[in-house]
Amino acid sequence: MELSLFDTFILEHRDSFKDEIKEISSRISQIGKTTGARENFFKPEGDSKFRNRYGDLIYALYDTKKSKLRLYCIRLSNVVVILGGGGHKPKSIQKWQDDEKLSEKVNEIMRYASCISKQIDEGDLYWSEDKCKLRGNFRKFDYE
Amino acid sequence: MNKSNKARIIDSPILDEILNEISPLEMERTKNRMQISARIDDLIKSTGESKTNFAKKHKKKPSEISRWVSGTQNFTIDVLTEISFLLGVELSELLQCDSKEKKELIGYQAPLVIGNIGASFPSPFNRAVSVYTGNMEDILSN
Repeated sequence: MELSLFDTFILEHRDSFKDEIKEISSRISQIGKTTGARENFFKPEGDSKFRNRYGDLIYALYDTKKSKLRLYCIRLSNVVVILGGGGHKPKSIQKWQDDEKLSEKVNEIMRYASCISKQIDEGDLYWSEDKCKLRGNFRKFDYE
Repeated sequence: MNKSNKARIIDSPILDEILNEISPLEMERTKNRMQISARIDDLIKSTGESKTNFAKKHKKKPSEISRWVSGTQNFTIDVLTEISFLLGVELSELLQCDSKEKKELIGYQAPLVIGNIGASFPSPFNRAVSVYTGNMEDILSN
């Protein structure tokens, strides 16, 4: 079966962080059904090099007070979010850069976001008329 | 002219399984938390102040304001009362998440389309929010 980054995130953490996975999934469901992907639900992430170049695209869903699980995504607008992966963020660390696994996940999502951003600029990807879908053929290349 | 492949929508039994484990009551709690957060965010914006300034003005930490609007806080009546007081509105107005005005603000309610996984959540509304999950090549191949 083909797995998305978010599927993999669920599979990796559903046993150890069941409550967090349910909480995150219910919020994503509500974002889709009632509130939209308002910026206030997301915490800007990514490194300064990326943000200087591409702006605010990488976000994490805010943690609940007790949660130790972080999900990263690409927030393209109030109506389009691409969910990535994430991982365990112990309260002992301040930044994702302090954790190897989280760094790997953020770097992965930054690579995808940079590709998408470049291809939108170049016209290879474009928005549907209702601005709800990205169209075109996605090509993957590395973010330098 | 660019040639585009046809979009693929793929189900996610993994996400469906998790969503099926969430009781209607839990989902309702999440919905209310998020709608109240959205309402607070809109009311702060309507003051014309940034969240940072709003926090400073009311001697709050910016992180506390972020938590109010994050959709994660389980508000007590006391906290809601304080927020409505700071915003200069009645508590009932703060809780007015289903007003006509609010429905216009939330103009993107609809089936949640999960690209690549394609889980589709039925909704009484007509517009769509797309929440995509990687593989990006598949999501974006239309």
